[in-house]
Amino acid sequence: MLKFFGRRILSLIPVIIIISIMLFTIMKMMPGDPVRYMLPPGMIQDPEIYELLYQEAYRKLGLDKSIPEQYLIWVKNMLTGDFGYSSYWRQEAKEVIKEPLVNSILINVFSIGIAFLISIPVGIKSAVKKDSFTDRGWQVFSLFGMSMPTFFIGLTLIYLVSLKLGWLPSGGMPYEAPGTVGFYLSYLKYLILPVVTLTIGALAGTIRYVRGSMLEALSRDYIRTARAKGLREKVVIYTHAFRNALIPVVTIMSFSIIGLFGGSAITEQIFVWNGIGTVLIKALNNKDYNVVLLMNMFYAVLALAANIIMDISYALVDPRVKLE
Amino acid sequence: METIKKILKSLADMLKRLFVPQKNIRSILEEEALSSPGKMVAKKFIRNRLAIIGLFGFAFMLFFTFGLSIFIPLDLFRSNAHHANLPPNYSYLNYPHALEREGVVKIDSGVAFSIGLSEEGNIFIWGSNVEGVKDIPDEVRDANIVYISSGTRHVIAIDDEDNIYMWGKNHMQQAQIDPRYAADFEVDPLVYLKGGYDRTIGITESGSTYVWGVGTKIAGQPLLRSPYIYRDSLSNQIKAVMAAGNNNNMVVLLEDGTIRVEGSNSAIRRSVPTELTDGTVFVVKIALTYENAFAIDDQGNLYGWGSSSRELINVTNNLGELIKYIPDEAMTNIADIQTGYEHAVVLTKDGKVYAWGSNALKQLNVPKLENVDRIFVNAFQNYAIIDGNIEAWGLKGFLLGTDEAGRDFVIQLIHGGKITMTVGFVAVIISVIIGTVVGLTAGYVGGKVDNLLMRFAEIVSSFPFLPFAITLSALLLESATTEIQRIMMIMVVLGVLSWPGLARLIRGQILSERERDYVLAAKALGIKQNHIIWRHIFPAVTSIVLVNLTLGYAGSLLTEAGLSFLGFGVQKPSPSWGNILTVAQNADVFKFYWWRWVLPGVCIIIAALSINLIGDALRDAMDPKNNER
Repeated sequence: MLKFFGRRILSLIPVIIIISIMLFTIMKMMPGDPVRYMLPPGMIQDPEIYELLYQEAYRKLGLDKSIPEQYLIWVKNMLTGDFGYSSYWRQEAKEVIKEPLVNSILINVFSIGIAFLISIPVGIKSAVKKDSFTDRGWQVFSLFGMSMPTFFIGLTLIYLVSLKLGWLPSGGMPYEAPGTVGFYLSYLKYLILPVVTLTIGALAGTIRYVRGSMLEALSRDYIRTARAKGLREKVVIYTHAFRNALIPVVTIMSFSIIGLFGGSAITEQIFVWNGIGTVLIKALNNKDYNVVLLMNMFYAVLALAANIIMDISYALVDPRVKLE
Repeated sequence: METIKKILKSLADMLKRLFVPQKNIRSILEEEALSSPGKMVAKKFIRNRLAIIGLFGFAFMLFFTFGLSIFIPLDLFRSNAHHANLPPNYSYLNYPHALEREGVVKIDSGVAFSIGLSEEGNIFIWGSNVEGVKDIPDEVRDANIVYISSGTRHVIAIDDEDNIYMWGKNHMQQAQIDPRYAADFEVDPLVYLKGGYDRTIGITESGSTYVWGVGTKIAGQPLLRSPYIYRDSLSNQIKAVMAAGNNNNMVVLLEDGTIRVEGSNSAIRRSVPTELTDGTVFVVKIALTYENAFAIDDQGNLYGWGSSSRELINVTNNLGELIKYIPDEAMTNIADIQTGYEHAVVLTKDGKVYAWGSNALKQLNVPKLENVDRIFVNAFQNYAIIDGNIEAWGLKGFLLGTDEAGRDFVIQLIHGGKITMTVGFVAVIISVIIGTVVGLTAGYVGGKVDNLLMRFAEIVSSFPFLPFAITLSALLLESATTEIQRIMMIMVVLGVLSWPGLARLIRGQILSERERDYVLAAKALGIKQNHIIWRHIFPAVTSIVLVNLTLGYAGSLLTEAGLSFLGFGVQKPSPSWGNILTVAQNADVFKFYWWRWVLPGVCIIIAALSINLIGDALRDAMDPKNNER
């Protein structure tokens, strides 16, 4: 088993290399001069001093080397934990995304967790009581959820919950001093709406998926056998059907991790949540290549990691999966 | 003929199945009759109620966007500040019938509402509740009103005890008696009050004219500063005062039938016909638009002067040709003239109505009218009284509201939808083509090619979709110069990033299909490989492709909307449902002008929902496991 995962991880290395080359090339093709964003003309009046500063910044960003060299340096730096310098925030790129990363992970983990906590029981119920009133209701809900842009869900929630009812803040980050009890309390307050938005967006797909795979499992012969043996319905559903239905659900779980992390950019933007999506958009608007590169590498690595986790969990839930 | 009949019959059946409860169950023989797989799928699809709802929804959205866009062109340059941010309302001309019953004394109109006064002294206001004009104060309801007048966004009412009531927009103190001159009016009471372009005009007993409201903030303007007081030797002979929409001029009609034009040296002042000022003719009525003025004399002749660019007066062009904008019938025998902001209406002595000027808001669409007694025209609304009955024409309202430039929002929704639907469709076609080709090749050829292609698919799918789409389009948008190029870029980005899922599905299906006996038979017969792939194997995956196409279409609609919402998709000024929605990030729009973000959102939902319904039904219909009833 360990050998299998070792090979699986090794096979990812060329993928990561190709991704990084592609991303790097794309970033280098981007028009605009990052140095000028770092040193806006007009900031320093004296042209000679400006020229000196410009050259210094040019070197600092490593732009004086050839592109392959720049790539190798970038890779070397990445491996040693140096992710470059942000021309917009004027600090190390990894410092820039440190706090947003925590914020993003929090809202995503919360919403994935809640989405699965809700969708697994609901999906099972819907499949078992197919075509019942509740099944139809959830079907309609998930159909609407699938057809609704996340930002519209978010906007509607802000309008109803914060504007009309005034229960929760419409967006932003807590302003209390970090580390205090008040901070965490208000953090939670600000967290609720983005999490609910993301959860609704994720629920729609997952409920359908769980229901579908559960229906598939329930139509199998071994279920008929189990029932024929006279097993209690609970045992049939939860041990025989659900264990088998779980396999595709695990797959979608890893996909929804990737999807959510990517998709949360819009939600973060709406709720002015200081997450990595917001950082990415800001970095793009300000031509901050190093941060954009770092973010995209992060997303890619996250996606690949999710793939591996999926493989592992596959093996865990399905003994038929042979790891050769 | 036969086929048409058949189609019509099945369509009728379909509708029947939708709305009429089913009673007769067909015999097994009928039901089990052999039919081709295609027919089976179509039958099952049509039998699905949700599918039909989806089809109708999608057809409606197609009609709304592509159909209507043929008839309603997008004019991004038109703007009308008067109508900025009006909520959906289509009842600007829906006067209350109680007003008709009680007898009309006067009707006056503001930008998006009208006010009527009945003979019983009651006030009625209909249309849009601009700046709270419809919230009639209680004391006004109780009072016996004898006079009303409407400004652009405020109204004035006077009761039989000479109490003055004003309400509505008051940002320049136009809806109150100017406190600086309240003392003047104690000594010299107001005898006449009239609403104007965000200002109020008052004439006092001694004949002084006061103008207050908008005008104060226009520095350097020679006249109509607010408050403006007009007093001269003729002051106790003033009969009527009108202020022009250009904020600079005022026309005064005196008791002796002559007029005076006050204010800056604009077209209205420069081009006054001399016979109106020197007493040659006796003027009985004046009317003003934005930059034009009209007068009628006691003989019923019409005089018009002012700006020559607004299609309101007859002008002589460079070639010396006379271009007539005023209808000939409206030049003589005139009983009354009234003007809106961009048009003029006359009532002739034999009871006919003629209108000219701008027809941008259908102000000139006069119904066939005979024996008209009175007309009431202001702003964009027109009312004619015939035998005590009201006939109305002009601006009916805006069904889906207006945007910040006063443009009808429905036009933007139509054209935005056209772009969103097209972008989504082309994107999904691109992704389906790439996915099918890659999946087919990988599955059929296998081996190293399969490995390579699938690795590639893995790479593409490991880019998280949205961040990478944002990054790519931000990059590509920089280098795209024209709008069309930008829109194409978005299609390509969306299409190129979303094919791996389909490719994997098809590959899986092909892998099992490839081992079937019929493929072996085809090979044995010496059929060419291309032919085997496309003619023999591909049909086995058409259902996957079709279902993916529809469901993917809904997905790419949503993605385009999201990208455009963030500003990385279709760029303004080209509207798309997503980028129309960006205004929701503006707190004022979000709070007060809900229709500007709710409506495009609803459009996206309807379109995506219909497509999803169709896709679901297709999947169910094509799934052979679902065949048993």
